[in-house]
Amino acid sequence: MLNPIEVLSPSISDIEDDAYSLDDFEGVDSRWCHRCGNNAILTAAQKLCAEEQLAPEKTVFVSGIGCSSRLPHYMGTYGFHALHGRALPVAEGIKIRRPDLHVFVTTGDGDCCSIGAGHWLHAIRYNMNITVLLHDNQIYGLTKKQASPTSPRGLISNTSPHGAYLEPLNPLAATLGMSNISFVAHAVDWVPSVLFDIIKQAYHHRGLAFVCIMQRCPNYLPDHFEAYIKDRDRTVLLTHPQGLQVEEAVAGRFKHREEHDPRDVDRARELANNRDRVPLGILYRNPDVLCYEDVRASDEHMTVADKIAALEGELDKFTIKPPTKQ
Amino acid sequence: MNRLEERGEELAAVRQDGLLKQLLRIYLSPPQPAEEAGAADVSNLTPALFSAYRDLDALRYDFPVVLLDGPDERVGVPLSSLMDELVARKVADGTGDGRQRRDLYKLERSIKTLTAQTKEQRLGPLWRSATKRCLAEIDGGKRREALRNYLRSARSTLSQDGLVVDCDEQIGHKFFSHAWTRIESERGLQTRETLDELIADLSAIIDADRMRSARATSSDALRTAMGAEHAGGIDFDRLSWTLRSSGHYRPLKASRRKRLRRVLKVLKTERKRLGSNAGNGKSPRRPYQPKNIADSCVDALELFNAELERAVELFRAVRIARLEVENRYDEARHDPFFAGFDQAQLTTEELRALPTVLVFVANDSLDGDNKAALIDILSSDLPIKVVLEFRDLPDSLPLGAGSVGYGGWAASLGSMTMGLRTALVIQTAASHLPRLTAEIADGLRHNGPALFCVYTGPEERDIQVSRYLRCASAVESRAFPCFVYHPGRGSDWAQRFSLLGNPEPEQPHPKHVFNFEDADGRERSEEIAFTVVDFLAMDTRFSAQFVPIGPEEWHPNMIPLGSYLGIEDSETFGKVPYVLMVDQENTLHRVIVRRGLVTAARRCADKWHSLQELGGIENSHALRLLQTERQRMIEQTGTEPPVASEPEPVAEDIPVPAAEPTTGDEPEPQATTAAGEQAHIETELCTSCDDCTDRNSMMFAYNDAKQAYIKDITAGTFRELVEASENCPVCIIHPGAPSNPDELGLEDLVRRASQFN
Ligand SMILES: Cc1ncc(C[n+]2csc(CCOP(=O)(O)OP(=O)(O)O)c2C)c(N)n1
Ligand code: SF4
Ligand code: SF4
Ligand SMILES: [Mg+2]
Repeated sequence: MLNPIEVLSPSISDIEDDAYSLDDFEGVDSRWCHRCGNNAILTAAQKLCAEEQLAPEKTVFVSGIGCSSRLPHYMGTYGFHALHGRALPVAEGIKIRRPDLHVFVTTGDGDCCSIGAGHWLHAIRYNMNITVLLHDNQIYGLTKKQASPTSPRGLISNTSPHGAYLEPLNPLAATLGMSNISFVAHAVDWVPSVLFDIIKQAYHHRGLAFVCIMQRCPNYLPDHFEAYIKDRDRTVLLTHPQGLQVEEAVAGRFKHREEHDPRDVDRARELANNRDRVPLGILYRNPDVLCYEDVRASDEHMTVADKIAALEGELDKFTIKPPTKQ
Repeated sequence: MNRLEERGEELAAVRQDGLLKQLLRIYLSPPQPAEEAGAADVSNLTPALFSAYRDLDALRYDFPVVLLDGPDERVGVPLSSLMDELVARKVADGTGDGRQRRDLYKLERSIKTLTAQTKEQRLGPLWRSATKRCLAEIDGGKRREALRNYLRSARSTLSQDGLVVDCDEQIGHKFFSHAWTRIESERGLQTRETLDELIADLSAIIDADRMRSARATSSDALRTAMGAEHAGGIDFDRLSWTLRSSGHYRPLKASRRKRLRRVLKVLKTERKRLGSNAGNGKSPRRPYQPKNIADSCVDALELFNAELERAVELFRAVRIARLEVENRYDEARHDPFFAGFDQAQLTTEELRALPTVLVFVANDSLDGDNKAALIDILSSDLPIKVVLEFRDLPDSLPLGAGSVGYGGWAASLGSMTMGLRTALVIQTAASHLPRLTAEIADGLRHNGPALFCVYTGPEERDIQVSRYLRCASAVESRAFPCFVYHPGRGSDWAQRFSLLGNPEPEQPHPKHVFNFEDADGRERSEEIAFTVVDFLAMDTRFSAQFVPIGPEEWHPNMIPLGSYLGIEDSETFGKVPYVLMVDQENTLHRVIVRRGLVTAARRCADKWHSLQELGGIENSHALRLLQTERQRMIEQTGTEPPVASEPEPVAEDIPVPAAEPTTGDEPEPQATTAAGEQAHIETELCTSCDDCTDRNSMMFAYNDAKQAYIKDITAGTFRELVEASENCPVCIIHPGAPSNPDELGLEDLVRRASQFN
């Protein structure tokens, strides 16, 4: 007798097994502090992967060093926790060799704008198809509260006990001033739907999408962004038919809205430089900028054996191997 | 008139009453062999209280059960509960309207049917097959597409998976093997972590020694290691000299190196047994599979002894490794100690890390050796977990010519074992396993012996109802009550013992209201006690103990068995107990129960009462003390002390099936508060920071999009709600007004809440 399961038509086989859910993108339990804003960015990234049904084995999150750079551990995808400041070159290496992978970079304000600043500049210019999330908490979190280049003037920290001396580096304005920009956006961790939509559009952009995210560090700077969270006067939501896709229920909460054409780089720079009222949305987008991998990627095919041999060849150069027993 | 004269009059009355005499004869005499042969009379009758549960397919109850994989902490959950949780999540995220809920419950029913038809399957494939069935019933292409998408999204919301099992004769085996394997794997994983660390540390010592040895730093070795391409560019003699002359390298002592190698070997051998979770090209994933399952107590003891021997080897190695890693091994001191290392040196911690042994035995296979080994186990402190399965309750098996006898000591093993005070005991029927899952998991984790007595029911041919009902009624009737005895929970009975899982534990018998129509078509209802007699009435082996009586023969002296059991023995003279049963047409019958069974019922009630006393209900010592105190007060003050009001009975759910849940469009109960102000979270603004969900995961939960909502407002206090509001980094939790006017410090809390409402 036939098992009733077997007689059923195979027309809709495996319907749930081929769908990834949010849980599929969860990695190990997070070690971030309670209420840390990084959580919101993590959730948005996981949601994106689930919504876009990105195969975990085809997705890689690359980071440098910092609290924010721990994010790849918390994703159920591949990850590369690289050296301090070196997330971008590692990601570029991955992308050029494996253009089939979805490559994301998560980096901190210290990681990207301090030690990694050189790489940042060139990564923008290379414009490879990578999504970059800059978690800007305006402090070094992992090393316990040192001033970062984005710390506002006067901020008391362990390295600036009398207050930070200089005006901060503005990552948005800096990026908008670089050459070959193709996508620049600004988000805040405390408005999740806007954050999500920006990340989603960044992912769909072909080229380097640079998303700067104001991220709360409740542990070292508990009330630092309170002014922005509480005072609706201090943010302006950028809307445009080609811009953000946010529901009216959320958009309606913003006192200031501006229709901003993401092609208008001059207005984008003005908006980015206004620190009293920070823009929320896509500042600049130009899908026509050349991507480095389009002109430089090799189409040489390597088998797994080739790759292992090449890798071992490289490593052998540096390994001092004791002679094996005779 | 004295008692004797009274009795004389009653006797005379009975003598004159021909009908009563006839009924009494039926009641008092054992069934005749001829009657036994023709006893088919009651075989088509079922106890009245069962009439509602004939079609189990249409009802929702605790089976099938999903034996969950990790990471869900629960080892097994009824499919119906999983679906209820799913529906709640769907409702919360706005995708659980009336029709969608109906679809989910339909799917559940389909999974249930498939489970009954097929051999064991995991929820994943069952869900797929059930989806196909549901889709096949739908005509419209659009609606079908919508349903397919909906069920797919529901499946991804319901992340759990595991084997789906019914209440069949294997259930005890499946349930305990699964729970034990999961718990043992946790234990194995912990040991694995320890071993991995030690192996890495010891290897590092050995490697460092090797890397700095004269052999590894010779110019030839360096040349070979660096490869041909550096042959011209590097002066290997110089490099060798540099390496050798830097630092203060002293090679390991030969005895130390030998010891390290030996210890490493022991650790690695043990580590291999514990499997590996992540595979690579060379070795595939090989999850740890605990193996110590035995089918006799004798074998279980042997398995454990083998474990102990290995443990001595292992922990000797672990302890040496720890000393070595910290560079504290002192040969003069430690060599003699480790030479004499044996079982006696193992610490409690180390013993706790040992794998446990699971053994399955059936009550009817407890022969001499097995019995002795069982007693050895239960009175020891060995972590052996015994599952004793009862297919029959020997206490109530018919003896000889259909009479009922006693003498089955095994059925009382659970209660007897409590007397040993060492072993953990859980008694339950298969039907109640899902309700006691947490207790069972606790029992398996317990660091000592455990006895799980599980009634799984006789062979199908002997019973008229499903195995689930058979088992559930064993508990309901007190024939096989549930209880938990946990010696690790404290020093007195109140802490150690509980009657968890039994319906109406304060009562001698649970009572149910039975509605019916009388001969004149009037609606009537009667409260019926559910006793061991109802339980046995479904067992064809007892048919001869029941004699149906037509309405023309009913007599005023016939009284319901529940009431009969409640009166003193001396008062039962001239009375005939009966139970109500129904036939296939749902016609009600009175059925006389023979005396043998009534005696069985009394005995069963007596045993139940002893358990109640242990559980602090109707405790005779306490009652006596109360009486003495009362007397003393009357003597001292001349007044009667006020009588304490009856405590509210503890509400215990009875695991009888519930009707299908309503799937209509009736409004969902809302998390309302007294003042009508609703507590809520602006879910779409939640930043998933885990603060509220960590604070109280019953009250706050994440939806599919990992954003928080209020899952159960009653699962915590108003204080918790207010504190969560205060701590939410984006101030989106609005606590509303309190629902419990008696909560402490309410005034202050309401003031604090007002900032967030
Ligand atoms: C080469 C190097 N230099 C310095 C450090 C110390 N270090 C670790 S994290 C960190 C700063 C991280 O700040 P940020 O990138 O803003 O990350 P956050 O912790 O704030 O997320 C520094 C200086 C290091 N790990 N490596
Ligand atoms: S230190 Fe700050 S940034 Fe780092 S985890 Fe804690 S709260 Fe987050
Ligand atoms: S505390 Fe607030 S932000 Fe954090 S999980 Fe709860 S509702 Fe979301
Ligand atoms: Mg930082």
